Amino acid sequence: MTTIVIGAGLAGLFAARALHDAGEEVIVLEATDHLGGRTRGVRGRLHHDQIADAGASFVDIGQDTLLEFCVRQDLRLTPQVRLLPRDPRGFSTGASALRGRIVSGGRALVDAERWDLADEVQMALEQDPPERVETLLAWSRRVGLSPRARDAYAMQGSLAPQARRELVSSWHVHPGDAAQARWMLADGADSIARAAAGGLNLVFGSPVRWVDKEPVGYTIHTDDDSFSAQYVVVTSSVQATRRIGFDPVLPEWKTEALLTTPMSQGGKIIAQYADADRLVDAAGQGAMTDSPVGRFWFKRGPEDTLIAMGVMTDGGDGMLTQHAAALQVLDRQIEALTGSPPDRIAGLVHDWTTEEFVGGVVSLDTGGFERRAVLAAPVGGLHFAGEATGERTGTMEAAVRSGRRAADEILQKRRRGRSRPRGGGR
Amino acid sequence: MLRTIDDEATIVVGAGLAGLVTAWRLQETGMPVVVLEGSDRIGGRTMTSRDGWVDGQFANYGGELIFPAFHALRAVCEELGVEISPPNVIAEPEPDDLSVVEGMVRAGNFIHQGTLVDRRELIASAARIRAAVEAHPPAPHEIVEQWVRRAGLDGVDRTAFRGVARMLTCQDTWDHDVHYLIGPAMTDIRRISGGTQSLADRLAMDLDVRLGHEVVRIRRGNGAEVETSDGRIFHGARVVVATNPYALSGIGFDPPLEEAKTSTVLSLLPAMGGKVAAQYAEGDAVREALNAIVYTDDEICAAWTCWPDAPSGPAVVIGFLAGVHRHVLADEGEAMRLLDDLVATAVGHPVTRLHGDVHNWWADPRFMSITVNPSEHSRPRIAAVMSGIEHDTHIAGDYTSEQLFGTLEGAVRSGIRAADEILRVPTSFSADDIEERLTTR
Ligand SMILES: Cc1cc2nc3c(=O)[nH]c(=O)nc-3n(C[C@H](O)[C@H](O)[C@H](O)COP(=O)(O)OP(=O)(O)OC[C@H]3O[C@@H](n4cnc5c(N)ncnc54)[C@H](O)[C@@H]3O)c2cc1C
Ligand SMILES: Cc1cc2nc3c(=O)[nH]c(=O)nc-3n(C[C@H](O)[C@H](O)[C@H](O)COP(=O)(O)OP(=O)(O)OC[C@H]3O[C@@H](n4cnc5c(N)ncnc54)[C@H](O)[C@@H]3O)c2cc1C
Repeated sequence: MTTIVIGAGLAGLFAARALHDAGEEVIVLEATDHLGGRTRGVRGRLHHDQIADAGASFVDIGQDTLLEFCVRQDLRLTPQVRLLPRDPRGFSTGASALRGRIVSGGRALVDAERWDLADEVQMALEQDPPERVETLLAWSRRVGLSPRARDAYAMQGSLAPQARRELVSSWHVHPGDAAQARWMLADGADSIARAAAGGLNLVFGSPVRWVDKEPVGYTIHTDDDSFSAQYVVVTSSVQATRRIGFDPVLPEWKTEALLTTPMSQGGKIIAQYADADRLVDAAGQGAMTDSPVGRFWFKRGPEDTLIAMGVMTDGGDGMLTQHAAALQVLDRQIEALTGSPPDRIAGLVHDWTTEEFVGGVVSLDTGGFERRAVLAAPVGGLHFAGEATGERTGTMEAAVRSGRRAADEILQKRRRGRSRPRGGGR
Repeated sequence: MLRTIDDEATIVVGAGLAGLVTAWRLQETGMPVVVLEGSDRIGGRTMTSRDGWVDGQFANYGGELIFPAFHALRAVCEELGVEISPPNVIAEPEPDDLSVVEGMVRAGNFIHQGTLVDRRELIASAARIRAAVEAHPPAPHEIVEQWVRRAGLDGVDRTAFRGVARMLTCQDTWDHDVHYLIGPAMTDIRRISGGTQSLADRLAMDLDVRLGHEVVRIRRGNGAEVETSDGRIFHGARVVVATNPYALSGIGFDPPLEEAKTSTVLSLLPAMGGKVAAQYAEGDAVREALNAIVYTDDEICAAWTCWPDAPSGPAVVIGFLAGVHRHVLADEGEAMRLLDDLVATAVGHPVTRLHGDVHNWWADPRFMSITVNPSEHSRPRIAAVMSGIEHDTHIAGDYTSEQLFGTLEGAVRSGIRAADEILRVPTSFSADDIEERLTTR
């Protein structure tokens, strides 16, 4: 009998891939018309056939499942992007990040200013380190950072997990296990999904609305169709899962975990500029800012163009829906570094908060190990995967690992099912 | 009596209802209290706008509706002489109803796909909703949207069920559980006459409230040293932090706030949004059409008149914009247009807007939400963790109250509870006191 996988994001595709490779029958039901979920590539909006990564961009050290997959599939990466500099001793900390370029109040801070800020933060981190879950704002106030150092330190929350500084726990930025070196997929982040999807049975435009348990297996209902399956792998985001009906209702412990896992609220901004050489000369690899575009970085393209990609946290200012205004904000941040307005030739904003089948950027790992484990735990033949269900929460790596884990859970059940009769039963 | 009056004050952080009730109760017993408020006004999420509205009318930008179970709030109002309006019927429950929704559907107005649903159709819808609840009894912990899908509600029934849920929680239906909707029926609501702000104003009347005192750091243990953003320092015997949850997690506590508290706050799903308000010239027609709450399947979750029994003159209408549609709050013109359309649909003809405004609580870093509505099952734990006393620090606020969490009533109850905690603090005995008062000679 079939396994139905809900969602053609990375978790769903890697679960389906693993099941398919083990000879299982699998159907992937994807609500949207897009492959890759939060690694979606937007085509036709940028010049020179460039693909805009609407969601994830970076692969970094430790994303080994993905890296291995890239080797096997011959997926190439861009040259390394050094987003977060190290300090003079070679360490990457919550302070060393301030040594990189910063635009504050529309002005690029000069080297000496940033080093002073980094030194101030470094001293405070050594004397009075933050507690793990203490928020960026609470720690910087507790240790009495100067307002400028506090603002610069708290800007880091805008990259990962892309949330307001009141909501970001210190472990996200210090100690600096956060990516020190990063690479992008040369042909767009969705090249992973495209490679993983090969040979799979994918049904697009099929939002799963509710799942009925039957005496044997499940019936999975979409708007105008239904499917039978022995197992179901649910890989929708926590919010999207809260919108799917289950009969019988999910147990209380599962619902509780779903209702206590907020997703960071925000989106991505992608703009294409001419004069790439000039921009890179003056602006290096991008900057961290106190504007609605909290951080941006560059990817080189053909014919002296480049793509600037930035993360936007929803601060309630409407910037995620006012695309022209947001793109102007990005222009101004670049201008602060280069001294003249950049020549933008294309651009778009992708708001993940209003995406019906996602609902945010990533899950905020506020419940730690226990919540992840509970989100991951199966309920009968319903298996759960997705970035929220494993270590490295909120990354592509978490998604792919969780997909393989869910596939293994099902394959183990299958093996148990097969071995019992053969062993003559107990 | 063993309890002696502290020679150092209690410092209350936040002049919302919770902080004001704490301070007022303590001051009544003769204890010195200072309230430090970060913004330039008192009242927090109770906020009545009075400027710009013709005919002495007003709009509640924050908390407004008083439900029958709000006993503590009503008692405080009575004690202070703050008048509460007569009831405004919002539901017509019937004895065999299985959910709150049926009664509200019979009495409310619903806009489904841009048109006002006919009353007979609503009566029929209430019956269908009852049948659905009977056929698929919702589990108490079930998420509203999951139940809507499981029960297969559609059309007007789905609009109605979701509409009531959105009005009660200011959240999308996938962000909270169904317990609001399967409890006992709520038949009417009341308001504080002249605007909710009147209660805060009255509570603060004789209190020492310092506006513009944003608290950034609290050193505690052996009393409290409270520092504001401009470096002023206040010493107190203890501190009551009566902010909303997200402001709490941003204060620099030293020693740091208990990890369980921070994790709990960060795990809440905020009701992201605010209100849009406008005054219309066609007062009587608007009051009549919006006397019952109007629920929609559109951007504005629900709307009503702020002063349903105003004798004459124009009418002020209030609407919630929240959840996935909250971005509209940043575009005042669009928000106004949506409210105009809603009112015109409810009234049946175009209306004339005299004044209007939006208030975006989600965008304000001091609040970052309208409220929070955790699941029924998690409330006792959250309230217990959040209200636990640590290092001479007491916590009040609507999110620390197990009963009526996230409401005006929850805020009042938490203030009473925090004041009681402080009044229970025993006198500290020095060695000399013990020698003098207790040892046998
Ligand atoms: C702006 C942004 C930047 C990011 N940057 C990085 C980065 O640099 N590096 C990194 O490693 N990670 C990054 N991430 C995170 C990374 O993209 C995600 O962790 C990962 O892609 C999540 O994969 P998933 O399969 O768990 O979920 P998703 O990608 O959300 O996939 C779930 C799929 O399920 C579908 N679905 C939902 N509900 C239903 C339903 N009812 N029926 C059918 N289908 C349904 C959805 O449409 C979706 O396709 C970023 C994310 C965003 C949004
Ligand atoms: C739009 C809206 C509609 C609502 N509708 C209803 C309703 O109809 N019925 C109902 O029962 N409830 C409703 N509520 C909820 C109700 O208003 C709240 O539950 C209640 O007002 C909360 O009171 P509080 O004292 O706990 O918190 P708040 O009112 O949030 O008070 C906290 C105070 O602390 C201050 N503060 C924050 N940080 C600091 C700092 N660092 N230093 C100093 N001061 C600080 C704030 O400025 C604020 O004054 C609504 C809320 C909103 C926003």
